[in-house]
Amino acid sequence: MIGAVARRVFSGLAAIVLASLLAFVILEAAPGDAVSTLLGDSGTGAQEMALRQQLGLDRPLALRYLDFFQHALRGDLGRSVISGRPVAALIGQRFANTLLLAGFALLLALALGLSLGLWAAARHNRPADLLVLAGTAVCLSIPAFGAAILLTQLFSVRLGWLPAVGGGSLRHLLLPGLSLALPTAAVIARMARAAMLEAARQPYATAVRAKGLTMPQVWRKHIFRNALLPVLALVGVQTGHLLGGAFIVETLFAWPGLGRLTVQAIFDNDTPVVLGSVLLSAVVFQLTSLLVDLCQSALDPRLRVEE
Amino acid sequence: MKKHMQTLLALLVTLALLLAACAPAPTAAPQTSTSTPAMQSTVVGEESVDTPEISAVVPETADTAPQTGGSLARALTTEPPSLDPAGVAGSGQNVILPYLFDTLVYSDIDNTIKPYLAQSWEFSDDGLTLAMKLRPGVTFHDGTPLDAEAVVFTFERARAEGSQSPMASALSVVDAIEAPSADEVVFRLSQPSSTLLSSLTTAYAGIVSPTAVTAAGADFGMNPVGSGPFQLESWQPGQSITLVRNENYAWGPDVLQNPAAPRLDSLVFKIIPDAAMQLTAFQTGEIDVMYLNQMRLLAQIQQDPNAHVEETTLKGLVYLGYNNAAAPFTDPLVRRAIAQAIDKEEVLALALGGVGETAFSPLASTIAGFDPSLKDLEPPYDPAQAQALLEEAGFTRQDDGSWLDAEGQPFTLRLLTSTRPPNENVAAVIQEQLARIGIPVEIQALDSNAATEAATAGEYQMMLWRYDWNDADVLNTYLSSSRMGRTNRSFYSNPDLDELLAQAAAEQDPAARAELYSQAQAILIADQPWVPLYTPKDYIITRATVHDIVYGVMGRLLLNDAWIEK
Repeated sequence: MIGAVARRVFSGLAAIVLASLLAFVILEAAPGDAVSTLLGDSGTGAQEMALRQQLGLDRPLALRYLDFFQHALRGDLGRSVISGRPVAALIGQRFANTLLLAGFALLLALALGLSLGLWAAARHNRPADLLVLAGTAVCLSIPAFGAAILLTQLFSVRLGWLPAVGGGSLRHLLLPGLSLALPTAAVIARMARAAMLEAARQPYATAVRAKGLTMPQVWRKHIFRNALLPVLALVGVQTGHLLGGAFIVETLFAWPGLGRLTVQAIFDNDTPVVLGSVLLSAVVFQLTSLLVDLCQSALDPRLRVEE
Repeated sequence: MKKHMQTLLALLVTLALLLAACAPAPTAAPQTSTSTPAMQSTVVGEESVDTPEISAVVPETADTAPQTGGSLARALTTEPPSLDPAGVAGSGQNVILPYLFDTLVYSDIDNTIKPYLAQSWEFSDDGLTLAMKLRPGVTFHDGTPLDAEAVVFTFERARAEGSQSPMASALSVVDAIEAPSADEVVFRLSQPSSTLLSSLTTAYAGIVSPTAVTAAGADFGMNPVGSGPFQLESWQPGQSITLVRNENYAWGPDVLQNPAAPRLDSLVFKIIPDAAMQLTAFQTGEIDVMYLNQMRLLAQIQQDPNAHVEETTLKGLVYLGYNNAAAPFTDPLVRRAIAQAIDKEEVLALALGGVGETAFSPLASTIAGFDPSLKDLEPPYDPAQAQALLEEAGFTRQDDGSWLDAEGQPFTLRLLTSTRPPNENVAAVIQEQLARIGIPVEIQALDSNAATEAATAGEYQMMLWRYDWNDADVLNTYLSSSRMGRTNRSFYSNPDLDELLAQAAAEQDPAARAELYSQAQAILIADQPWVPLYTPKDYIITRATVHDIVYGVMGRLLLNDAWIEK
């Protein structure tokens, strides 16, 4: 068990380093650099050279990456080349906001998805089941910005219940959270429904029913628990989607998250900020999948002995 | 029954999907709400949506007397990375800096330069000395007096080695800045400059508090201290920036009725990247002021009785640039032929819903020095004439309507542009117009960094480009041969033009300077290294209860007079 976890942590670390290296190389290959962003068309040649030197952009690629890496190991992510502010300060609060949004969306998606999936599976082929299937198909097909527009038109413009933009309170979190959660909730609902129907068809379900357990007991103790495994695996994958998808929702709802900051930094060729946020996102993604793996093995004894 | 249910559901799902497909679909890219094509950040030109140029002062008429108090919320598309005037240029900074920092001189809506922190100024006869007399009694938000030492400090900081200041290039003609007394500042120049004074009116020339800069160091951009009508109260990153009234303010420029402290209690900038969401926030009352440059959104707001819509003209130009260093555009006949095949009115009508003003001069009509009398020199839209010119240039017309160039190769063109709206729409109209005379055009739309890199390297044939600039010196930046490989991306080289532009940059007399620029424009209109297409327009939307906003140059909304009707 410990060995498996150690291996898992090691491969996670490797993935994190690779992600930062890849981001660095892609940024270097992309057109333009921070100096062109800083000076635009108004700079002089001498000003350009002085700035490039001051920012260390005249040094070889490998050296600059190693430098970044050494500092990052010590917890120093450097300063933004555009604003001059420390990267850690820039991304810290923003990342907390993105985590809040993605975490809220995940909880919402799990709650909605699991309850709808369960409800549909228990009413297999009855109108409720079909309604859930149709509803989730719609949620899966509407892109996040479509849902965002519909939700703000309804709740902000027509009803005036919730603010359309900004952050800082639970009321601000509801609309972006819901927009982000809907597609994931739909995926979870469909997965949960299919997994429970599958589990209900298994011989052990018939066996425990024959043992005299009531239907609700069979569902709660045997079917639901078994169906949770594939759903949990899905959650690991969906976390990445939620963190990534948060950007579009953040832009629309003007939610002060990391996605918006990162995309702006990419356009500005602000390498330290991009690397900092890639690093942070990679760490969180790896931690989440590690957590999901651990939960899975806790739930499924078969995974514990697989060494 | 079950079967019916299924059919019904299937129908419902289909309907829902159709509805979803028809739902308005704003794209999520961060620049969607700016209409700027691969635009260059310049000392003054910046992303248009936050900083449009207003064509006229339109006084708001209010029935009641001005009321004090209230908070005005304004949408900001891009969050400024810092609020240090000597930091990087950007649309967000351009909007906010003028509320926090005052400048030595003020540029009025008609491009005349007026006193601000400087009560008066004088150039020496040789044009090598600019002496300014400062207004007494001005203090920064932190109580530090704004004296000549503070002015010297500000500009020494902006021109120091490794400075990122957008002012650095304008200050490169300055040899020394001196403070002979507490209210006198002297700029000593290495050569006469007609652009220095106008550059001192920009947001990036704001005077900073030396005490605050020394205390805050690298964090001054987050803790800006100036002498402006508002001062920073709080900054929530990614969310909002709140300014409050500077109670001590008493030195506004004379375009204001109220040069003293503003009537508004506070000014809140809310960062909302998406244009459609800005509009929604306006409708829900979360913001009171916004800029808009997307025509499909304009229709929604024009019906709104709470909205006051004002049209603005920008100091910018959208043009079709040729690569003048490579065939076929080394030949003036081909340049003229393409120019005569383009119907600018149709470009405006089809790609921009008719919003904008067609252009014939490479100098935007809103920039001082533009000469309207040159209109007659413009090669008129005439496709038949265009084809005759191509034949004159040695091209042969095939039976199917296409062309062989002088070397007998099929004649096709590539058009480079950036993916920012509305570039691709404009490019498509040009493609269609050139197809009508038998020239197939391939559109190459890249993101703005990649498009800029390709254009600077000369890896293109035609480019759809845009500049935003406040001074006629823009012609020098983009067309002088000394800027080749940097900002002269059309690789145009004309010694006569270079000479005229150099003279104009040193000419102190406005009339003589305008005459030089008129000659330069005449050369450029005849030679057509670019086809000027149009000067863009934006709209400013304000809540109907907000009165007495004074519209200034560079997209400034002066808010000393402004008040909110309760």
